[in-house]
Amino acid sequence: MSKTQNSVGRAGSALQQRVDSFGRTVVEMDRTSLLFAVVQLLLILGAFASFLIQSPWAMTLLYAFLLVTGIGWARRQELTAKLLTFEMTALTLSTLGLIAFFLFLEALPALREMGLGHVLSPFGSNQWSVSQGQFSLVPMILGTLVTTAVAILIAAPFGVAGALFISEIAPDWLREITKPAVELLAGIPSIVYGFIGFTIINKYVSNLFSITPGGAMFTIGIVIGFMALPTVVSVAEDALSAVPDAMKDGSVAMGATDWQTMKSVSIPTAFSGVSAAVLLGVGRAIGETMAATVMISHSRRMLEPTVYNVFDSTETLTTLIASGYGTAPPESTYMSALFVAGVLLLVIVTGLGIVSQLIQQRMQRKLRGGQ
Amino acid sequence: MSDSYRTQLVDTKGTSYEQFAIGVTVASFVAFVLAAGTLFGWVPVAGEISGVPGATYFGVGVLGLGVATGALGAFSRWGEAQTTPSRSAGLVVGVVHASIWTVAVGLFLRYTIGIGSVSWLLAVAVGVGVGYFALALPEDLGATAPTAVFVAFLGLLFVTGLISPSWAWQPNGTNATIPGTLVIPLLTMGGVLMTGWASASAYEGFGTRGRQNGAFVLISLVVLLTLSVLVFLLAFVFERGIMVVLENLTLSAGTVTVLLATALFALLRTATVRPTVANGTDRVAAFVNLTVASLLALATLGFVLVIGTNLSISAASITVEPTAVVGAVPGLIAGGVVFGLTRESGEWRPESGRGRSIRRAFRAALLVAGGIGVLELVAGLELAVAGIGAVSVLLGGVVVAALLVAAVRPTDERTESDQVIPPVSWLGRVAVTAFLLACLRVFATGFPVGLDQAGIVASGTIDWPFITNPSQGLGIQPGVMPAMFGTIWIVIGAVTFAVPLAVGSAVFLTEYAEDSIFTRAVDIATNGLWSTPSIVFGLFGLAFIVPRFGNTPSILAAQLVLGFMLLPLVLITSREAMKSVPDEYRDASAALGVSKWQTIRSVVVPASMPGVITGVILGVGRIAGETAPLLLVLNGPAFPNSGPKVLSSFLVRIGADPPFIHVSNPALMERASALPYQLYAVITAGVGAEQSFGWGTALVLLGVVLGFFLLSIATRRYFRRKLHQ
Repeated sequence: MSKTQNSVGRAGSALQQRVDSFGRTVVEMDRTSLLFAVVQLLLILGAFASFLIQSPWAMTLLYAFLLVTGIGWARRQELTAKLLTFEMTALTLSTLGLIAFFLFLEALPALREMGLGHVLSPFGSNQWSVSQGQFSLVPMILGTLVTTAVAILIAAPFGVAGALFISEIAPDWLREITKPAVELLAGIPSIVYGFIGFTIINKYVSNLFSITPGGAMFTIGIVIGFMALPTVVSVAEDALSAVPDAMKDGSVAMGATDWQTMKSVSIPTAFSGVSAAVLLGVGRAIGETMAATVMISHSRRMLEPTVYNVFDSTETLTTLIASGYGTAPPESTYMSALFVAGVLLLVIVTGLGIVSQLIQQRMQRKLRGGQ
Repeated sequence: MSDSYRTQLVDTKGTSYEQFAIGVTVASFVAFVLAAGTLFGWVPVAGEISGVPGATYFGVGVLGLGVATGALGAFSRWGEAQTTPSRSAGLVVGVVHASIWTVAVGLFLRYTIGIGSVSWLLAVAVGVGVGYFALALPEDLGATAPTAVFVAFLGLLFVTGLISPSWAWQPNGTNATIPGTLVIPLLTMGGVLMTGWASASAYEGFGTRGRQNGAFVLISLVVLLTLSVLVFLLAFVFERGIMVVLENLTLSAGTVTVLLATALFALLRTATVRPTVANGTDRVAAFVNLTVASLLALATLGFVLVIGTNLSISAASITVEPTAVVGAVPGLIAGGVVFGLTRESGEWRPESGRGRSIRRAFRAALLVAGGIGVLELVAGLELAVAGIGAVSVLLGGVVVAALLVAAVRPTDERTESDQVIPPVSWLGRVAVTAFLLACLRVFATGFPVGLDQAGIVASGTIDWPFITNPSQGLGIQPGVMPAMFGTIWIVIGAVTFAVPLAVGSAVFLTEYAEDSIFTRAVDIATNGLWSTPSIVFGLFGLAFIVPRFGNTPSILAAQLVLGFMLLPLVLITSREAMKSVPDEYRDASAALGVSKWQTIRSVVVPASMPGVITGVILGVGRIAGETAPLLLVLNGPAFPNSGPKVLSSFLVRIGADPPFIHVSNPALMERASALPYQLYAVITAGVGAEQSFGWGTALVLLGVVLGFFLLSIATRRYFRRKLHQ
């Protein structure tokens, strides 16, 4: 109780200090600098706001801002530089907010018309039918779940094995080759995987399992798994190599073998980091678009005959957007439903990314504290 | 005489038990590769090899490996082998064996024998039994016996034909049939992974060292095989696409020679090619460099030979013409590279009067050549007699003559005449400058320099239809030019938009801001942006950017959207780079009385430049291959017949309405294509589209993207080496 109050008080005093120091800075500035700073900030805010409301004045304000900044750069470079970099940071910060806001804004009509329950609840009709005005996302969510599950079955074990290999097992020269190679593989564009999947793998698999051609969820999951693999490897490898050498050396000095050290020191210490890597892999798998879009059947129905039949094909959230945008008329419920899928993706995947990042930071803080 | 000297303290040859164990490991690896090969159709499993079904070979092999693994355990327990097994194989091994047995026995009873749902009860009982067995017995038996029995059982299934290639299994609740041709290799792969693990463990005599060896072999195998799948993908795309990309490529041998020689020069100048003086990874790199250098030298010689013998080469629709004509653009590139590489050398300060006048004469000649070039460009006609060509040739002649003189002169006399005859490096630099000037003149005016057989021409030395043709047109070979230009413009726009923003933010966050809620919020936002799916960025572009810029998908919208995607990556890497600039630098600068912004500008930013550049290149590599947002915000024609003409369509208009100066570019506001988008178009165009064109596009796209990645890796290595010098 007192502890919370304490920390609140500390935060309050820190804030107070900052406000004070900011006030001092403002007071200590000479008139001209203050004028420059205020005008510059007002102009860029005005430009940004009029850009948001699509006012024709945006360009004029931007020019004026550039002019004022130019003058400021010539006369008060120190201050202008600080202000400019601050504005850049603020713009970067606002990007995520803008994305979330505009996606939600466009998704609102569909949510209002259909109701959140109909769009997301699995106990309704679960039907996506444009002609009947039914836009349930449940089949797509199921599709995403199935492909992601298959993908993570590939990416997680192989990815963690790869990270262990690079950080602990491989000799130095091999590590110097494998690490960039993994980075390189992470760069293969997804459409190239999609092209291979579309021309080769789809046919091969449908022949092999005697199923109707057109992208079994199983195949797509495997392809996505291989695409998420390098991400898992490099993030998990970062986590494993963040384990301080002193801890490992201590274990080895006690007579433990390298494998025992890995099992009982490295992996437990880096466990949260490795799980963050897997989470990030899950995010990658959910958000993967192009490879799945060109391989999948776009049938937008529940998997048949059972919901876990990985050899059937339906649609995922990402492929729904990629294939639907062309046929959906602007301003329609259909288009808006695509944005609902987008909001879902943003919330899930970006959330996963942030959570994974927080876990990694926490682990690194802990390791630093332990040293 | 004692014979103790014959006994080595450490036996490096290994006992026969160890040799047997390693034999089993290698055999397991071979069996794994063969089984994987059947999936690619390289190894027949359904057919017959000399009258015996392929599956039977697998059965016998797997059976043999199982028996051998069992023998390893038995020898260790009851034989002569000197092993150090633990009391138990450990919980993990027990659980793994128990689950494998449960699943295998359950499936076998349920589907092959066909007794109802009782089978799972039985299977669980068997699994628990095996698990207990593995746990309770000493390690050498507990680790090998369940593996051996299981794998041998698999082998028997294949040999007896209970699971044959024609066998098939339809799992409940699915519409698929899983054929024996898939099950046999998959089971083989699983089984031999187990025998490989057990025998690797036996090789080190079980115990802790054995377990380490087993685990390491298993992990290494799995990782290398996974990596090889990915590398195989790359090789596959290369194999399919290379002939499409190179179709009808025509080169002049002169241009190729100049480019190859430049590459060779650059390699020798910047990279180490002596494996003996390097160690570690540098040694591997030095070997690679040496190989590449030798290949380049050989190829250069080959092309010189082509010119000398005047025979044209044409192989697989590629033609090399035996002319010594060099194209102006390749010449400019090659000359520029050499010029940049020789920047630090080539100073000549003669002290005698004659030397100075010689230097002056060379400079005057260069100046005259340049002046004539400018005059020709302005006047628009060729001054053939006093043309830059003649001056360049003259200069070249003088340089060669001087080089010859310098070469034949005895070395001991050099001290005196040094003042008159310029050093070779300086002459080389003059020659390169003259060459660059000549190329620049040809490029700007279009008039050739030199003879028809040897000289510099404006164009036509490299004819590469796949790169330079539009993707649609009457009677032409389709190419990727419009898509290529689309990608180039999008990348340029994204970099111009995102990099200043990201670097500025990084400066603010590392230098000005204190750790606060604000910086933490930026942290979370950047990481969130970094992991946001690309299609969501596309939707954002559709909802936010497109309505504000002409309400139509356009290059500009694509530039901004991809810029937003590039932003977090560059921000994160720039911030890391600035954080890693040592505080001593800042303190030293502050101690000199330099202000904060001056310190940032002249100390922090330059010191962090390597990291920033690497981050930018890496980010560009990522966005260049991005397709999903382009579907929504670029959305051009599937097969465009011309590229975007961005440079030539800038418009500046002064009007009375705000903002008074209107800068516009209609070409930027149009839909267009890009390399990844082009590939998508090939796929969606359906049956009619030529798949070979798709493979070519895929290869070019891969080349561009992986080129950026290689570049970033090379930059990192270069800066790291420079830092450690």
